Amino acid sequence: MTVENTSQGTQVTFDNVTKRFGTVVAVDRLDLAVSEGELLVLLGPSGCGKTTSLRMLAGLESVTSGTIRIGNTVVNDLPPRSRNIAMVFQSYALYPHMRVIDNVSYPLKIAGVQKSERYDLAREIAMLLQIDHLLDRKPRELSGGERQRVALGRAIIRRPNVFLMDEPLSNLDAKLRVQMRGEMKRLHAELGVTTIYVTHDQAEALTLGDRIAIMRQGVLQQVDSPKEIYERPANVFVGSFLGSPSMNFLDGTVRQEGGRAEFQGESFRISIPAHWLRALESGDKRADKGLILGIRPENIQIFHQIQDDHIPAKIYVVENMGNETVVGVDLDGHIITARVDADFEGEIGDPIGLRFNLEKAYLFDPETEERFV
Amino acid sequence: MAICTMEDTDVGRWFRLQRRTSAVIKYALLLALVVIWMFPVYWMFTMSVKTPLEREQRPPALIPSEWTGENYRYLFEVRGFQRYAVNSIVVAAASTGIAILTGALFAYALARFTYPFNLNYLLLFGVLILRMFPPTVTIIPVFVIFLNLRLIDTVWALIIANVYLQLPFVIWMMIGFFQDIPVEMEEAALVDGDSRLTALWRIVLPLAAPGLVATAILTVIFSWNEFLFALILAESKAVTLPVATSTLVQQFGILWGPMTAAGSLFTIPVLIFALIVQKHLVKGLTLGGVKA
Repeated sequence: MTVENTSQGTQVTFDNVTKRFGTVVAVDRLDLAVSEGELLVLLGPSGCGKTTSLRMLAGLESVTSGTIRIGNTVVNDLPPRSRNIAMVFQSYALYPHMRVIDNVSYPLKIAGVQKSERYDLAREIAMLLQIDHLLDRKPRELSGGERQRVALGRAIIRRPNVFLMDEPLSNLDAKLRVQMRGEMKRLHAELGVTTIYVTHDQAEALTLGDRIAIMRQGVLQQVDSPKEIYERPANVFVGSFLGSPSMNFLDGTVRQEGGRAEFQGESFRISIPAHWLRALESGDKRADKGLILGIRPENIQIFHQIQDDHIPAKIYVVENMGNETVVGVDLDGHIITARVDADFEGEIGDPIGLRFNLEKAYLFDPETEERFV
Repeated sequence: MAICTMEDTDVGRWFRLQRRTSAVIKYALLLALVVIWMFPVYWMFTMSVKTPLEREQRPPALIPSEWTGENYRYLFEVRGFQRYAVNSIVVAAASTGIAILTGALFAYALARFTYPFNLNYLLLFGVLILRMFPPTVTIIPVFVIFLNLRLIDTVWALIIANVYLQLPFVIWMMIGFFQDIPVEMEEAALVDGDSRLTALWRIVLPLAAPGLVATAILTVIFSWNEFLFALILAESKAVTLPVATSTLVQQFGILWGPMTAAGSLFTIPVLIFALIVQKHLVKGLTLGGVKA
């Protein structure tokens, strides 16, 4: 198909970019480089500045300070039409008074492309997106998923340097969202255009992104591959935001007795690997200052037969999800979650023993909430 | 079988009867209202085509037995109403055009941009204050201004006066319509390659068309009916239909025949205009563009 691989991906750079609305800092000194052809997901809770960052890149918001580059061009003061970008809006923003074919080919109409030529291209893209049977309809006659495809088609047709996607799937129902997620990934692989994709859905971020950039309250927290960001979260926020059910956090201190080191929680103690201790010492962290232990639910094992090296606890709740079971565990007043096999059986109140897989656990500084092991 | 449907029961029958009765009552009421509202118009028109004898007949005839164009002939041949009609059409069309164009742009700017010093609010409210003045208060200063500008008894004076009178209304009407158009559509157009002005022309105005049309219809009707400024600012050349019609009320009586003919004539252009543009008054044009 001729629409494949026609666009050259272009690098995008945010250099110390800040956006203020009055006294509110929406984006705080953002440094971010998106490489050619990459799909970067901007992830964060609502109000974290991800959409504002995207809108600054699109030229729909002014930049308070810093520079944004597309390729080698500083685009801070360029109007949106001069940036050669395409954007898919959360609300789709189709033109309701135009037929689908006119919606899809609208960017070419503005560019002055002949009607027959732009309609041919629109038909080709409609085939790619499987909306070729809808071309003569108006947006109001389409379902949510179909509108979504039309919005995508309108973005693809002009072969932009950069795609901007602002939560494009968030208005679809759950099943369609999963289906479109796959198609987005395939489309990105086919077109190879640099894409910045904003979402608050961690599943979308993990499945789609070449890299994920997590933001919180206008500040970039971490940029990394999905695997890396899941396995090595930079701080408590990143650890808790990614993963479902989310990571457990337990307060405590590290004690040394002879050659052994232990993490001392409120109601339990657990031996920690030697390299944690070395990291703590080299990081100049006073172990007795207090620490936060972070561990994901899948790294907690549950035993009905309590042994000496287990942490004793009680079952708080059992939720069978079909393919797995999520167990709420009462650890002396703290409720933590563990993810175990689907065939797990247990009643509320049953005494159990826990084993933490500390190779996949983390220590965070309670003051800065940064991870240092 | 113990299953019974709604229709089988007395309750079901009662509901159906009630639904049918309420529909009958609804349409009867609507019909009565239409008759009450339309009767004066019908009466005016039939009066205008009755012969003088039948007009004075007691009890009056509901349907004229003989039709005459005498009253219309009188208006055009004796009173020269064609000139007043042209004046009225020119004034209504030009003032509506100018008021819609400038008012819509003003409203668009206020609907889409936030200006410093709370200007959005101040301007919008200032415009409303213009309209709060009773026109009679401003008529003498306006007369003096137009006298100095040597515009008295020209259609220009009436056009300017009508724009002044209609502009606040246009702005207040249109700002709501523009605010209802999702801003994302315009942003999409900007990203797709439009400038602010081409996005306004190709996306915003087509979507605001129902609002523009509704506002234009009302503005045309207001200008068409405007009496006070037309009376004061025009003496002979620029006289419009409302003022000319008022001259049919004379010292020793009202010329009912010509008066009803003038009234009928007066209604027709507005009616035609409304019929032409009503297809643009469709609702829900913006439906489906963005997910609600």
